[in-house]
Amino acid sequence: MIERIFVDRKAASEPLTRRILKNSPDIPIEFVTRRRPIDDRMAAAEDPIGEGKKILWLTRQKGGFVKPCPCTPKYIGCHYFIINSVLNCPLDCSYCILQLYLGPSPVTVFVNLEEMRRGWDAFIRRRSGRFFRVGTGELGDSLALDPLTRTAAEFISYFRTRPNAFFELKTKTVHIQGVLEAEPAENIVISWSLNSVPVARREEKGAPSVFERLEAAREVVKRGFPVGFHFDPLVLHPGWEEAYGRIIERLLRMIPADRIRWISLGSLRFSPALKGMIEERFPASRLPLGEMVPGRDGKLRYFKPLRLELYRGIVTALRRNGGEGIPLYFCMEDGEAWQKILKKNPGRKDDVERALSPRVKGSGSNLRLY
Amino acid sequence: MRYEEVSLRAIDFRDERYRISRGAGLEHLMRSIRQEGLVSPPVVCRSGRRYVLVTGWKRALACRALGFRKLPVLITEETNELHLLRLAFSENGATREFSLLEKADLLDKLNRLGMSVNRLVREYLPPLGLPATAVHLRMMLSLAGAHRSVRDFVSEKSPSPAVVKALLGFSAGDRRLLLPLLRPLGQNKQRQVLEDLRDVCRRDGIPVRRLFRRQGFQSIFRSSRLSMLQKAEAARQGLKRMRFPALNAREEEFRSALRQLKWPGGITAQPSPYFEEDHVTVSFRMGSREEFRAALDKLRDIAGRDELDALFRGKG
Repeated sequence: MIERIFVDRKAASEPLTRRILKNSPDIPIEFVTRRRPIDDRMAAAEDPIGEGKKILWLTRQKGGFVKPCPCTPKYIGCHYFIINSVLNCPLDCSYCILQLYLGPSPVTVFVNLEEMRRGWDAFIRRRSGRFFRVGTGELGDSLALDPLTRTAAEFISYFRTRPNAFFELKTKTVHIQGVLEAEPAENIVISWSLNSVPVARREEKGAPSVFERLEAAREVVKRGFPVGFHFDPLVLHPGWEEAYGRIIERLLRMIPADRIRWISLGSLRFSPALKGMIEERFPASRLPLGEMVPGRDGKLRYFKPLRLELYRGIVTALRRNGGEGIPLYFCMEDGEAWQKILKKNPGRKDDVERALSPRVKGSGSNLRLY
Repeated sequence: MRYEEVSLRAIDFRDERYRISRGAGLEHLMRSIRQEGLVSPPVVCRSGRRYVLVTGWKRALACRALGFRKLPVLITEETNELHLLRLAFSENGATREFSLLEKADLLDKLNRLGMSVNRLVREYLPPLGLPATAVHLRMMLSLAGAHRSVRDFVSEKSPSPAVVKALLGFSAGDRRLLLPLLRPLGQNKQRQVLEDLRDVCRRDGIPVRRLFRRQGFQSIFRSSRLSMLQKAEAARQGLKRMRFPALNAREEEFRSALRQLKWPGGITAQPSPYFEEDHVTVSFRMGSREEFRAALDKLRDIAGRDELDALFRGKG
């Protein structure tokens, strides 16, 4: 929950700044010339990372408007591009990499939208004739701040006229008002991170329940948008198979499979440094107690046979519930997992990109991951 | 500050409120003072009729050990305890690194003198080389107040802050059980023992004492054949097996397959680290064509056997 807004004086006149301030009448505002007061405030807090999540920082982005998703070394990526219109997230999931990646950091909204749009134009020109997937949900939640920013509809209206772009708004929230007000398009995908009920309840502080997320997804589908889902991080816990099975059953009962553009799977993983942070910030979390060992990239992952068993369980549940035709992909997995579980070995991230991009009629691609 | 020579008897050595240095061994200092005299006088402040050492504890102790009757000192008129402690911190910090225990004691003293957590975190942790977080401050304060056995362990073994932090995460009673196990081990293994033990106890919901009462651990602890190092190592291995049961089972399966194959000595078969990749690395040394052929013959023989598949096939 945002408790204070700091406005960079250089960004004060931007229309988006004015809109955000208008939409937050009850939140105290400070205009500053530097970030120092924010850093001081976070440093003084018992939990600087948690404190950062209560602060909204409105500033200008200086460049790098679209970047390739960094993925992780030595595992197969999916050729995703990220738009960092927002940095950090007001939700406080125990496993979130942003705690480590950003450190103590305010929730930052880059308000120079016009400049950002010019950056996107240049990027899209460079990739003309090629499909690509791009989203705003890597370094923040795409919709968590939408009640204040109301940018979702703008982003949708920008990308709906760029058909070679698959634009994804990825969220754990139910802030879909802006999306529902926008005109749908087949290249705009609204996606939700899902988890089992016990994991979501225990580890995703501040996020709506999984059932509320599914309700929101149903609304969005009803409005005409395709949707995506991310079972990430998949967590082994007592009764995991039934728990995930129930969510998948509910998901496929509520959402027509042919409106699901993709589902990604990624098992719990974190660097040893993040493990320490989880232990400190979330002492009740049971995530660090899993049987996790260092992977090729140095991150801790479930011991491979356990991981494969987890994936197998999820994929079986998806198939059993009518999701055979939904494109599935792994986030940060190796060829063995692709081969053993999905019976495909994409080899390169371009193959993943091609397989995920083409479900729009006339796209020209016939690659499928199933 | 005023220079004066005061009787060593007038110095109250029991009053350690500004003492930071804990290191033992005054021999070098005593030799230096014997040869060159006391070059830099300690700073003292008044406390009633006596004096309290603010800086120069080791120098004063060395002079006392050398049988000096008088000690050249600088007498400060400052009476604010916080200012005096900061003086001691500045003077010591300018000339040497503090040990972890010294840092803990200093922070504890500053805390007791009313310095806010916020100031301690921001102004004192960074110059002490500690991350500026309240969590680290809490750990240091906990170390300062820890039982003497823990303080002695930290003083003697100079464990990493990570080991100290993990150790302080256990109850005082559990720490006493753990210290004998930790002493013979190196820092990485100390940390591994503490983390595996903490995780197993949390995961399985059992206290340390009950875990250690289990047969496997009792037979280690009660063994008269094993040295302390061997006991510590056996306990470490036992904890690792409990912490990583599936990995341990796969490792055992792999070893069993090698035994079944009567894998030849001199040729090693190594799975990928943590079985993350689906391959086995075979390596051997050879000094001649004949040795090379002999190794290949042995491997060719193994290649024809059904049991070989068990090296590649985990239960997953």
